[in-house]
Amino acid sequence: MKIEQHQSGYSWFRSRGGHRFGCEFALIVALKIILLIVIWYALFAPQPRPDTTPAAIERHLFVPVATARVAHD
Amino acid sequence: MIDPEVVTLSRLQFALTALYHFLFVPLTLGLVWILAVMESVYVMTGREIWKRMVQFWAVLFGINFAMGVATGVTLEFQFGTNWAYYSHYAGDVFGAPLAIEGLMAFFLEATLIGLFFVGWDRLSRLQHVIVTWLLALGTSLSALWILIANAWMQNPVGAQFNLDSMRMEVTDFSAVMFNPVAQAKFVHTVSAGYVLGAMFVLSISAWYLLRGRNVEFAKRSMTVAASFGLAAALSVVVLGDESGYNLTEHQKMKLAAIEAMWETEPAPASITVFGWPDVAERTTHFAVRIPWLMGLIGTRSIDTVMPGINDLVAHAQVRIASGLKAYAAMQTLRTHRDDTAARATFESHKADLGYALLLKRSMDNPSLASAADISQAAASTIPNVPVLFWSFRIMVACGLWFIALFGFSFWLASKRQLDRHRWYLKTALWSLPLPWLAIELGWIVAEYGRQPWAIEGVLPTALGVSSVSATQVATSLGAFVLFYTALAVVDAVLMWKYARLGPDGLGMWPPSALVRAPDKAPPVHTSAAP
Repeated sequence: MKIEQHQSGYSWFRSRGGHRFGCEFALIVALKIILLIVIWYALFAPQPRPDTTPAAIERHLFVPVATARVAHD
Repeated sequence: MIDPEVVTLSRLQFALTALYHFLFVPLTLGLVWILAVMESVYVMTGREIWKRMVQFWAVLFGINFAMGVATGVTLEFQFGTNWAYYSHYAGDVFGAPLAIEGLMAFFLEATLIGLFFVGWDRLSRLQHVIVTWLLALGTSLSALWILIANAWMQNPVGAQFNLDSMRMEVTDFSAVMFNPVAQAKFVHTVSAGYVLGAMFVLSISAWYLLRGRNVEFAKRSMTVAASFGLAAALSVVVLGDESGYNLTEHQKMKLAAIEAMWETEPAPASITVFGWPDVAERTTHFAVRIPWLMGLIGTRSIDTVMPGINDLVAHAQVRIASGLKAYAAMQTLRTHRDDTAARATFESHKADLGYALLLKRSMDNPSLASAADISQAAASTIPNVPVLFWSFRIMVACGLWFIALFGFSFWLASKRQLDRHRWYLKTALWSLPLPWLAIELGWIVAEYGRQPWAIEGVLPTALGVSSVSATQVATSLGAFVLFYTALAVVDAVLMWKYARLGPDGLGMWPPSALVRAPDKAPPVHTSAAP
């Protein structure tokens, strides 16, 4: 990187180096968001969604009522 | 039956993404306070070098922030995809602090970050330093909310299981907010971040001094880092003790596993400084113990007994038996809502319902559990003792090392001899990875030590996973590993590039002439290097 000097009082972020840094900062954030969106739509969105209705939760966490009754009879 | 492969892969995915995310978070948490301190010195003294110091360290802060931001979003993906049952079961409680954290991180922090970077020539000195302090405060507040959410999983207060909705619901939000585990965890975690921020500044500055570059810049930076780091390192140990004291009350098994304390000792218990935990024989070989110390630290008394692992397993067995009564009563109530006897039984045993659910990992119907099944489920409440034992000790050793290093740095700074000993500068440089190591090990102790629970005593981890296939989880895990590896490489390259350039290479210091914004600046003087 070319060495630049600048007068006191001005922010380094408004120098050439500062502008380059700002562009890199913005590019990284934008690229990451795009990549995350791609990962979401390519890998997660097509997957079948888990059934989380109360009935499904009951089936998942607890034995269906009929089976449990039999077990206690 | 629950697919153990899905559980393992889901846990691995969450652990890897969380550990990766937490490489960035603590540096943001710590470095921003150092920026605030440096900028305050600039505002008070008006010396230009302090402003340039803020701007240089802000470049590295910015890279870290840019690389770290949104890496936590994937954790939220996973709550929906891999942990759907957990999210449904506990979402009403867990969701609120998680949402507030998201809002704080994405709106408050992002707004203040923008003001911080573009406000240098647009705000007055005082306005800008206020923005920097607010940024520091906002960053820590953002951490507070996620730690409140996490602490609820360690100590689920202010919520109850609702039989009708089949989920946990908030009964007292202030209890969730002011959970003692959350308070201890918050101060311990942010202090660890402050140590990391201080070490980051100390190590990179030491590298400049070793190379004879940016000497005045580096010495001032090291002075701030040494003072801030010493205070933070002392805090992290003291506040870690508070975190450990909370375990005595709320997570006895985790504490016993950390100490590899298999048997209950007469009060006050001894601490095992070194040893070789043997899980098969439930003993610790070659144990070096200090009498009384564990009892004094863990209970802050000389007559409170700390239960050992074997007794806690026996207690878990009792709770499983009690939980099975709640489970049976609940089945009755699902069909006969007005059964008062079943309602009374459920109410008196519902605190142990989660323990009955431990049986679901090995059988479909816990009501059919034999004594052997119950015994096996009780034994499964023991987390991985060797991993916790060693992780904790390495973390503590790092913590003591930080006190020694920052203490010595502070002494050298007060004598104005920071650049005198090359061995010291090399030690400071090579200590850079240690805070990251200690922090990641701290999370391993906190989260691995909570197993087999997703929510302590309420929901076993295995029951929180979604009804997805192992292939689905493995695919997304592979994608995340690739994504995060790429980010880690870019981060390392950028950090190295800007740190190597340094204030002199970036043209920040020493100031001599100006190349300001090329298209806007009225006076443009080009100059040679100093």
